[in-house]
Amino acid sequence: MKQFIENRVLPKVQKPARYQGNEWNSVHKDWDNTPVRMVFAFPDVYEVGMSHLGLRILYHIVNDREDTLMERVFAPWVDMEDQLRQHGLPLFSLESVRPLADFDAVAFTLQYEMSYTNLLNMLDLAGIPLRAAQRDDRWPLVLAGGPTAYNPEPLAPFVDAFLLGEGEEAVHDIIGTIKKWKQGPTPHKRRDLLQELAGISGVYVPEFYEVSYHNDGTIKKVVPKVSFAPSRVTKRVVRDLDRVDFPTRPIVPFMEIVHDRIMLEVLRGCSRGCRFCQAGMIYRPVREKRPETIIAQGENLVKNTGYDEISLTSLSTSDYSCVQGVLALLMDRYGSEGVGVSLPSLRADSFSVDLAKEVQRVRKTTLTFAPEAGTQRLRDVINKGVTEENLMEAVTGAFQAGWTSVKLYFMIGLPTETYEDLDGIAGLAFKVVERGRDILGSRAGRLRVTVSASSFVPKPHTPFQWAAQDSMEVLQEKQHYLAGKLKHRRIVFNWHDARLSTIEAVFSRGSRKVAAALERAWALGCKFDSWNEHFRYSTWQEAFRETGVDPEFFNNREFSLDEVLPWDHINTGVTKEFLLTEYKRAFSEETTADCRHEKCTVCGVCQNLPASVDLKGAKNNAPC
Amino acid sequence: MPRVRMEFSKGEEVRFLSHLDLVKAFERAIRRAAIPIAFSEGFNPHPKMNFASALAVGVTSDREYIDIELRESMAAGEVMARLCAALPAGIRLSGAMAVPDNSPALMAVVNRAEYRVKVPAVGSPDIGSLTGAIARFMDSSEVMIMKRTKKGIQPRNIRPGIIKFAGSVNGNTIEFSILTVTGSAGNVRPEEVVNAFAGCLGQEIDAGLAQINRIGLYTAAHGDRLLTPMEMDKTNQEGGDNFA
Repeated sequence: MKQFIENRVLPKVQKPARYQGNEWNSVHKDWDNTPVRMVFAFPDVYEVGMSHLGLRILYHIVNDREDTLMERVFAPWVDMEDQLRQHGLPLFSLESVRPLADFDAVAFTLQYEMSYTNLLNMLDLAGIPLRAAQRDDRWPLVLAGGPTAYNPEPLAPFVDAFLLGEGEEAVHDIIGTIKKWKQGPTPHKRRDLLQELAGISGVYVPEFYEVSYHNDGTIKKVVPKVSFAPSRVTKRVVRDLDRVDFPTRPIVPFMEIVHDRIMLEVLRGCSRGCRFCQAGMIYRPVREKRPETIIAQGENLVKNTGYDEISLTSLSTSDYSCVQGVLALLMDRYGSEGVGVSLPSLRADSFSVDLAKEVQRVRKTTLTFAPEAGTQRLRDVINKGVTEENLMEAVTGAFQAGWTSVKLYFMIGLPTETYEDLDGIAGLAFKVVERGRDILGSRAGRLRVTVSASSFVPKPHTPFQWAAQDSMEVLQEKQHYLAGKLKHRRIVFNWHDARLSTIEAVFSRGSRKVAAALERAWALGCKFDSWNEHFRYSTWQEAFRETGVDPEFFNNREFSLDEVLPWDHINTGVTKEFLLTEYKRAFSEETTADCRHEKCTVCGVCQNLPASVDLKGAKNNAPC
Repeated sequence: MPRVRMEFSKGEEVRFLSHLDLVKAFERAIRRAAIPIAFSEGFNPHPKMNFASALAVGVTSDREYIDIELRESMAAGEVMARLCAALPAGIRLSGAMAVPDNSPALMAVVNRAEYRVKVPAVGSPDIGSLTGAIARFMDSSEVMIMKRTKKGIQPRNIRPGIIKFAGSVNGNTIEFSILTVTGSAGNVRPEEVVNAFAGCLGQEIDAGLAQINRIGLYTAAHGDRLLTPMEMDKTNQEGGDNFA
């Protein structure tokens, strides 16, 4: 098969390097002498999937075990899919070019809802039955984890077991269980394995739960059907980032990938508390690495990869309490070797711009800020602790330092939004243009302000999980209105496809009932939905119609506060009471401070989980 | 600044790399090997390295060449030993030598490229008609192809750029041996030759499945003599360490 693929298939596809698993630091193990075999599956193309840190971490941790191998597979691009189907070839792993069905487990990562059709397509290309109920003892276990697994219900019929939360430690428990089962008495019964898995903290096996509904389609209850499954599954969390394994021999792809640099994680979690933001809730508590750990990992990473850039990654790196010292040390050490340091995202304040000034060797890249909303009122509603003054200081600093191009991220369709808030977006953009002109003077000809507007999608486990999404028509009307307001030769206005956002919301807040629509959409040909050229809105509508799923029930409906939510049996540590308090505070425009700087907000995480806020360069204010 | 020239092969394992991928693979290997490469001046410094010729995606090669400039001197043998250990599987070094820093760039001196091309044929081709067709092909003074250029798709005569062209049959595979002009004086690619020839042969060839291997890159010297970049500078430099 390997020969055939190399000689007959790869010469016929675009970017054949996507399908070759022999990059520097890739791991090739002896198949026959490794008892447990897993394949990490990313439901998007190679260059997207290889930019994902979670894959790097798990690949490294699993392959460091002698008894287990982990290979990789990505969604084949459509030309490759055609080749596979035409030649009757199954989807194969990159490292050893083996069919996915040969592995003990196929483990998907779920980074965004609109990759779900790719997950189904990959199972199909592998010849693996889509539904868990159709898979007998012969088939590999289908696992899934990642941020959108926090509402696992839309994928419940297709996935055997979900892992909620951080995988570094949990993956060992899962491997141990698979190994024991494989070495146990034959025949190996799938059900026995699932029973064992359900006993691991953080693992959710959907078939052990029964969902009942009210007549109106809302959920009556979700209860375990068996005694050994917990009534709520609590996410896994790593207590100490300094002691957990972090890959210092990551794969170095041959072809250019989206994030083509060293990704060095400096902290995990964010407690700024933006009310729309799922990452800000599910990755709590904030845990930082010690500067010494970062420096040591950085040194090994440069030595082992040869990359010329270290990106200090996290949800918000300028919040790292030791950021200045670490930046100075890294630049000092690597400046002369042509290795740069970069920060992935910036808060809209002058401190962040000062950091950017320090690290940016070249001023030609764009600086991006995310004020999210156009008026202070709405920023208070969403608890985005950024003021107009912060933003203006930040862009002033940027223009003074030589940047000529800034990007502003906004979200439209947020709860309570009015046209005044949209006017506010335009107003801010024009103020930034004006400031740029004043400062840049003769270079004002190069000034560019890019305004990007995404559409609000209510996400599970956030204070806005109950909020209705605007209808597609309303979103489009708002986009159109903004486009009219932002006509200016120095402003570029981008917006996301509102149709895509409305479907995203269905799978963000969907119950098990939406699974049928997903399966139907896939069968009708939907895949790569997040790629504009492949998104087929009318096909999705057809799928909803045929399966009797009303998308508006999930996206455009305000969920009632006493309703059982499809994901209520998943416990992130953040309590529903906290989310509800935050939801109510939003409507009274009350802000809630970051527990790193003010008092503990009693969100529940430090109270409920075996972890707590861990800052390395500042005192913990939260008395947890 | 000291300059080191190396000869390397691009094997099956890495045949699907683009030229840019290969450049990056070297850049990163050089950093892993802690070779003191020199950087260009300016805000965005680039490591100073030059290749003799770009190799297309899917094409393997027995002999390619790279020059790197060093910011402090290091023996060519040391550079080669370190780099060998840091290069991905499929890129193998076969020689290294110091070159004077005033010698011309590799790109400027290389003007011939030699290839072996294996093409699966439909049915079993016979050697007689193949030889005859090659003779007719080489007898003509004009081989027109349509070539994508900056000005759109333009007709171009590639015959003057084909120096040698031979073929043999091995089971269901036709094997071609091709010597073409490359570099600043024009560039004829082996798949262009095979595609153009397929028309003359009256035999179906799926040139998309051709396995192309570059045998070498040369400078045409007096008469028919071809010198590799490792030989060129030997002629004007005595001594110097040499690890070919």
